[in-house]
Amino acid sequence: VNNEINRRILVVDDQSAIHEDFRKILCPAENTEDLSQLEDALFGTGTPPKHHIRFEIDSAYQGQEGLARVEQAHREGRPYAMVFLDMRMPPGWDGAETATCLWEVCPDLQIVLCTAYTEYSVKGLTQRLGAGDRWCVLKKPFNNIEVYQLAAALTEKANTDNPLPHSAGR
Amino acid sequence: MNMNTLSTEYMVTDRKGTDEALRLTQFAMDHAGEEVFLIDQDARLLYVNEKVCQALGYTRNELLSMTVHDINPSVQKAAWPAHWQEVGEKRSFTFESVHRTKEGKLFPVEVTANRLEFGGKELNCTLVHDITERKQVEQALADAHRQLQTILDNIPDRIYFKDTQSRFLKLSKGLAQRLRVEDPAQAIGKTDRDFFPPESAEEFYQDEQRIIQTGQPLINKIEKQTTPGGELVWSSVTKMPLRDEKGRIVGIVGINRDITELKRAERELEQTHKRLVEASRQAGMAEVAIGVLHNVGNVLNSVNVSAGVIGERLRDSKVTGVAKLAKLLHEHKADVGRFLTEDERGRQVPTYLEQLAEQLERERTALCKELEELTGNIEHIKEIVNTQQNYAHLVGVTETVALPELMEDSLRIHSSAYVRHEVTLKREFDSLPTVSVDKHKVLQILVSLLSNAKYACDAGGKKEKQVTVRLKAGIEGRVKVEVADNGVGIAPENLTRIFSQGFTTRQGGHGFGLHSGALAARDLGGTLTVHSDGPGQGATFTLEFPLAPPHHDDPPIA
Repeated sequence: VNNEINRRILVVDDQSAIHEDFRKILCPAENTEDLSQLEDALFGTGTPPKHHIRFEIDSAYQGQEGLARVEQAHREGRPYAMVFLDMRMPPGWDGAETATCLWEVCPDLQIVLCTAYTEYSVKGLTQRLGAGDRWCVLKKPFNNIEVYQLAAALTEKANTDNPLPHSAGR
Repeated sequence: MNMNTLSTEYMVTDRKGTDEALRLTQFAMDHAGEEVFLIDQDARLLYVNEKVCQALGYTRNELLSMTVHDINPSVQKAAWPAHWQEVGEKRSFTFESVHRTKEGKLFPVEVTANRLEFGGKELNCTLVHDITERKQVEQALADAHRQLQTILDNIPDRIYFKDTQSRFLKLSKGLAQRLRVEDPAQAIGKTDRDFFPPESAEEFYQDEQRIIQTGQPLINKIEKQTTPGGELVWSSVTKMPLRDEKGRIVGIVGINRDITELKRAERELEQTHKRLVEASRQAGMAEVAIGVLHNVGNVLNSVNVSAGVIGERLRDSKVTGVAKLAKLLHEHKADVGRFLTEDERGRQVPTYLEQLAEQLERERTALCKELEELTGNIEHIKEIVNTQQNYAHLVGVTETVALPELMEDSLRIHSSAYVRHEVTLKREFDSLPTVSVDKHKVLQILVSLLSNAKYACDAGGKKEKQVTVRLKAGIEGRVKVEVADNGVGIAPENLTRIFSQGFTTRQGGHGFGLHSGALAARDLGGTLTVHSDGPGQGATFTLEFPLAPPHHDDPPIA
């Protein structure tokens, strides 16, 4: 069943280093399944292979580009489950502005706003974006486990809210 | 004119001579410059001369059929007998009245009525002349007086006329209030000594005596005065000699304007300016600090992720397999050979070892790579912080530096941003002598210019974003630092506004960067200028300053 869950994630940030950071956390290159099977056969320790969810990550470097990606994915019937969205992306839209535009296309899109600055208070953001359960804030520099768990939990939530057509009978 | 003398003189001659004399008299009367009337008791006009005809626009025949009432609307029929009697009693008297022309136009006249008795009949010989001009002059004089009085009564400025002894001749209500007298008249004849502290009064007196002696006016002298009420005020004082109609100095006329509010506003303006200068200095420093924080913050994120990845890899490392294998082999140490060749599990050990070795090598490579990135990022943070510390210590200190080094320092602060925004950087450095300069100020300007250039490139939307930095020799021991971008460009109307405080075209910009940059350039004895051929044409900012700082003792900001 897990395989049918939509794990598509869009990262919108003006810095390529941050995209690298997300990939390192969410898409580790390692595939040690063969070795784990051998270990199991040899040592019979029965250590279950560490389960790592396989996320699919796309990148956009400006708010406008992010919107284009979300629109395209929506058209193609393979929407993103969630978006990691940087707050500060000069010279274009900032995160909150981008979020508003994204929600016009996909009202239920889960958005994590990433910010390194105290200038964006949660109170101020709530005024701009409304309360609701569509967004949360992740402070930079971020913790790997936080990012992984946010990705896991919010993609899960997105699929519960909005099951994909082919997994509707789940 | 003395008709009696004339006629007597001619009467002693012959009859013919007498006729001649009468005709001459008649002629003189007819053509006299004054209007001459002969009027009888019933106010009928018996005789009028040419002048009357001209003045009233009637022919002589018309006039001789008219009465005084027809030409003088102010003399009613009912009032005539009293008038007649009055002339009879006084024999001759002069009064002002009004005449009306044939066209109905009224004009003021001065009338001298004389009572004559001729052939047993009484008549008035009345001389009249037009006093329109005199009336106009009188009116103008009255108007001028009223205007002056209006000024004196209403203008808050303190206006006064004084005689040569500096006694008040006339003064405005504004001054009366200042002197604390209810009516200006109460101060007339008094001097400043009666109202002001002695030293102030003496100063005023000396000024006025100098004007009276030299005729030189005193224009806009700024005086700090203590009012009779004990208040400290600032006045702008102008005093001029007062002359009589022959040009002799008979006193002075003065105007004092209260400029206390103006002085206060000036002082506030000065303080505001100082605060703004301070704010823009701080903003300039903040620009540096924000650049530093931004870069450190980003790099720190990568450091954090790298550290996390390394920890995770170490935790999940397959290196634990080595220990497990050792344990397995130990269990079979009695028959290792048979275990490895014949046992179902044992036969898989070589394959496992091979794969384990490959995995451990992969892990090692990945860890090394991650560590390298981590170390590189930490180095980067150190560099950024060092650069900032260098300049934080050196505010306001002039020292000898090599410009290329200074340029590289400024570029380092922006290096990651330039890479991130894919801006190509070109350096064109002429070889230059070292400069003696406040490094902090140059850095502040360059950091701001480089930041702007990057934004301009982003906003320009060109595929190949490029910023060129140049170091050039200027004229007469000066140097030029240029930052040229191929970005969005500047509209002509913004070329001057761009340096003004609070002007920004950038969302979230505070408009302090170029403003404080221009101020800092001035502190260096230099200039910060811009050239752009217009929107889309890029822009070149030029910082120009002397190799050595200007010698002046003034504070840096005027």
